[in-house]
Amino acid sequence: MKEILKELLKKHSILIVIEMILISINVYLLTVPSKFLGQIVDLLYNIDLNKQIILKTVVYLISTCVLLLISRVTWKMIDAKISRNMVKKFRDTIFEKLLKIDVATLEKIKNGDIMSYFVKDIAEIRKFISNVITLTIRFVLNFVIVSMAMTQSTNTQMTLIAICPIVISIILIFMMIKKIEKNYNESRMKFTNLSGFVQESTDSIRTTKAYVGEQKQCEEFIQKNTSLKDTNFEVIKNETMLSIYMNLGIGIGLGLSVLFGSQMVLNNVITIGDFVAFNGYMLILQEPIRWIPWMVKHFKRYQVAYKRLDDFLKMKEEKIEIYDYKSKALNGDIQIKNLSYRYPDGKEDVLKNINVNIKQGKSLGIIGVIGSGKTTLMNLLLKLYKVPKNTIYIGGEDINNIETDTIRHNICYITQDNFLFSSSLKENINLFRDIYDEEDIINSTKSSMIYDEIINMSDGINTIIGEKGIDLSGGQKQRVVISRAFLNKSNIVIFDDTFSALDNKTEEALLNNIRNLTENKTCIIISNRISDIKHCDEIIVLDHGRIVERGIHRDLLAQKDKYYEFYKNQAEKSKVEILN
Amino acid sequence: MKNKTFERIKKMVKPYRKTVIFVTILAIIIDILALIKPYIVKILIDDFLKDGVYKNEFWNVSFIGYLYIAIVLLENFLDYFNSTRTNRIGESVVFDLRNKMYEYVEKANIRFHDKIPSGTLFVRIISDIEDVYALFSDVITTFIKDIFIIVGLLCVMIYISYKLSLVSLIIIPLIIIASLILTKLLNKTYSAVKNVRTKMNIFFSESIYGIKLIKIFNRQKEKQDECESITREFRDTIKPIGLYQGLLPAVMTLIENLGIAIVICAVVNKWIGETLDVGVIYMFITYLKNIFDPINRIIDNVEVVEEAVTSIDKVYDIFDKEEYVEDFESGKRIDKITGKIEFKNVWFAYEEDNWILKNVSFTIEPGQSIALVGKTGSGKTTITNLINKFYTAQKGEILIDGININDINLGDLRRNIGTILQDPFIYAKSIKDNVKMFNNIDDDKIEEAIRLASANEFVENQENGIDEVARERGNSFSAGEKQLLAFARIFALNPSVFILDEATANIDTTTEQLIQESVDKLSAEKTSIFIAHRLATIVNVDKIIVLNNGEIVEQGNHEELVKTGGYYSKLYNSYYNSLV
Repeated sequence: MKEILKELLKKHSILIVIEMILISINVYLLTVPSKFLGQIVDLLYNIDLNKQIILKTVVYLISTCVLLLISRVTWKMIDAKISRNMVKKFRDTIFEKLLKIDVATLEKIKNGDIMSYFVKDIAEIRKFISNVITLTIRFVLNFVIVSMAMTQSTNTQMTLIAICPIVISIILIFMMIKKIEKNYNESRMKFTNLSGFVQESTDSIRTTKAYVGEQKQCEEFIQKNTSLKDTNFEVIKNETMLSIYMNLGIGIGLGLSVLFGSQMVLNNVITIGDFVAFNGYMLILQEPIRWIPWMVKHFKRYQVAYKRLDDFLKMKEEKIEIYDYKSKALNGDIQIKNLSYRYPDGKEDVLKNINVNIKQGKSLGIIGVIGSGKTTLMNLLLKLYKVPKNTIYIGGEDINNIETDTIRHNICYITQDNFLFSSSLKENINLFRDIYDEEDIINSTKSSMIYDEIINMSDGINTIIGEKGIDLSGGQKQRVVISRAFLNKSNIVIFDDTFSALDNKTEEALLNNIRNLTENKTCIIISNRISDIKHCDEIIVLDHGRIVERGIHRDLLAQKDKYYEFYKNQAEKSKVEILN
Repeated sequence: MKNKTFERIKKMVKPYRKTVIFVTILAIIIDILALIKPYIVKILIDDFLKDGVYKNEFWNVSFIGYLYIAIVLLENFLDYFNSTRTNRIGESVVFDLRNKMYEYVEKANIRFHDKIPSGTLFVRIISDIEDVYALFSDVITTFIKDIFIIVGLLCVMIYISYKLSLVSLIIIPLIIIASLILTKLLNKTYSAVKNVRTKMNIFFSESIYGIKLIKIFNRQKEKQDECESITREFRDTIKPIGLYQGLLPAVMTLIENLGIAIVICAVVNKWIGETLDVGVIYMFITYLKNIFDPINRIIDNVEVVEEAVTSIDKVYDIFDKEEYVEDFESGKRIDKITGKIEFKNVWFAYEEDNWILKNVSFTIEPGQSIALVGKTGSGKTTITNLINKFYTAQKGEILIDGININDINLGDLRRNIGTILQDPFIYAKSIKDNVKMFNNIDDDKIEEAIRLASANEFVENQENGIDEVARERGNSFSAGEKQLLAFARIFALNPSVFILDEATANIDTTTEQLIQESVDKLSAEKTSIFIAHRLATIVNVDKIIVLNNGEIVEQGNHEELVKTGGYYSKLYNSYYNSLV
């Protein structure tokens, strides 16, 4: 995190220097109109005599404003350039980190948290860099330049007297902010609580009605709502106090300058024009004070965001070369020897003493209830988790000795969640890698039994799906996902519970195509449907991480044990489907 | 603003009429004080400083200074009450409205909830209403003040010199035009930014969700490239915003000084044909400067008002309809029904003329158990929805204990019917409250109910036992555990009629056995209605009602129906054969 910031600052150092200069010019120029106005006021006492000078000063006044406009716009544009480049760099860096991070580590972070790195935290960092820092600089410069101008038009003593109430109000503001922050957090919490309650109420309306709980729910709501209102009243009170402090600081400062300034005019120390200019300077101080609460709030948020991003960027990475995918082909023999596995923070083994041997060209079926360890086994095979030494071999080599990207390049793993990107069908099948012929892609959709539906779509294979395109049914999604297996040329193909949304006829044809595809490949099918795995060369039944039965379909049925139970259950369920 | 909306706003504010009058008076006083301040400086300049006198017959210089400070103090003192009270009106209006909306949602019937998705209701109650708050607190607070100050400023300026006013006030159209143009440009960019932001957020959230897929297929490089192109697009789209934001204040400063320049030129060149004192000119310029902020605020607030009006209409359009509110007051009070249910030629449609139930007639005697059998959409669930009067039948009669269902007090009716849905709703409350379900039941009875439902083991395993607070939607519990809790609810409620929509999936065998025990216990003593998914249930009930397309095709017990050789017997035989 620090390195990125340093690098960015270095890269934009010249622009930053220019920005600082422009800000200084801008702050200085802001004081100039008051000065000119003061001069004009003095000249107005003798209009006829001073007419030319007055008109000249007016021209200066307008020119100053034009310069002010130019300097401000240039500065803002430079600022936008710097901060937007920074944001881009941060987004890219965090995304790159996401791509590299170790899956086991990643699974511990909620998706929503990662999303908020991109959406919220980066925005906070930007606000800090482009607003908080520049505002602080402007704040300080403003004070320095304005008080210098004030001293020039009157004297030091007068300046100190007028600024004194402003300084006191700033101190009071800082003291108040803490209180408001506490108030505000409390209010946010109560609001979240209230929203949660509303969400639950609308979702649970049928249950609530069935138990005649409407009145009780209303009472609870009113209680929560009242508590929120009370806190908000407190927030209102304190926020008003905050703005009163700001107004009082400037207001009393102005009052003091009227009180003492007029004495100075009468004592001929300053002119009326100086007096007018002095009051003008006071008003310039007004705006920066209003920034204080905002700056404090975002400085705190920046600290939180910085830490969150910094922690994320320090997380463990996979050893993987993401910019090179020309990996060598592996032989498809898979051997698993005495594999037991426990999650780093787990209490017990999720896989216990697994032994499997599949030669290339053969197929393995895996069946077992949720939580029996099927997907963990696959995640290990793909090196998504750290694999114990000497347990899993591909092509005779311990996979710990094979590069991660090579392994993944050689295994085509079709997962159970049929997740598709909001992109074209084609990109969802070739997964954004443009090395396949259009014809190959079309053929893969034919094999996965989705082709007939695709050609009926408006743009065929280029139809956009998802959030901004058309919606596919569960079964269609599944078949699009399966197309990937037919496009991929790897020697090992895994189907992890990928047929659940398909009807019997499609499933049968698809399984036939899969058998053709994997005739000379290693094929693993994980499914709870007997029909998907009954033709496999070997079937294993997993239960609580252990292989409890293994063999071919016919033998396993004859054993009348777990596998048979699955079979019987399915027979019953398929009849239930008739009922429904 | 539409007349209807105005009426609605008036209604909302009505309870706070006095406060509104109070804050309006305060606002006028504050405005007058703000107008007096420059006048004091004018007196100071023209009556004292110009001629170098310390005092005249009315005042002395120091007194004027103190007066100025006193006005500042008074102004802020009044402003405290003005701001807090106005904001409290906003807060209270929102509070009232939320309570009213919530109550409506709770008490509206299921037809209402079918029509309006729970997400929409949530947005209305939680977010849309925040716009209403903005209308009352931000807009109205400043709006009243701003309108009065603009009018006041104009009056005073015209009073000073109507000719000078005429010349200098040409800047007002300039302010409005500049502000409108820049706001429009800004909004145009904002909406472009919004589109790219949505696209970018979809990309990030999908990449986070699909990260495993990306890793499995080694697509890191492709995704990194896509990321960079999207972040680049975002950066380039958002850049102009910095320019516009920089432009607006600078343009306003320019126009302000243009105004001053015009005033001075007019004076110097004697365009106005009268001579004005320096103090008057200074005062005039101060007033001119003061007119900017209120005008800009009003322009900004136009949008807030528009949004608030839309939100108010959206909110009221949902909640204004009396016809959906359920009546819990009228109807015959029955403490305990015996459980006899009769349907006499009942017709029912969710949407007009699309009959879901057609001429359905049957009788369930107290204590009997029946099963509703049929395909999805055949009307099984609809029948149960009519029994607990989530809906009202269009034709025919439903009698409970011989009384027409429409003549029974709604609360009493529902308290006597216990329904268990396939996916029971668990509130984010303690287990105890989840079993109690809004009723006053003592702890002993709750524990008894939990035991009867065989949920005791699972409850005891929770860290805090019966006081364990469920996560939102009961996500910390499995589907089976939720079912057990739902059964505990029924045992605690002890209704006369028990309806069960059988769960078919996601329950392990042990829990399934526990559930079966509860079902047996309940159906033994109560009128029981099953929406049957399992043949095991069907075989044991007293009566089976077979539905097809909303019509009863067969009814009778298992043996009778098998003997008749109709629809049911075909179903049963095919199941039976598959097992043999």
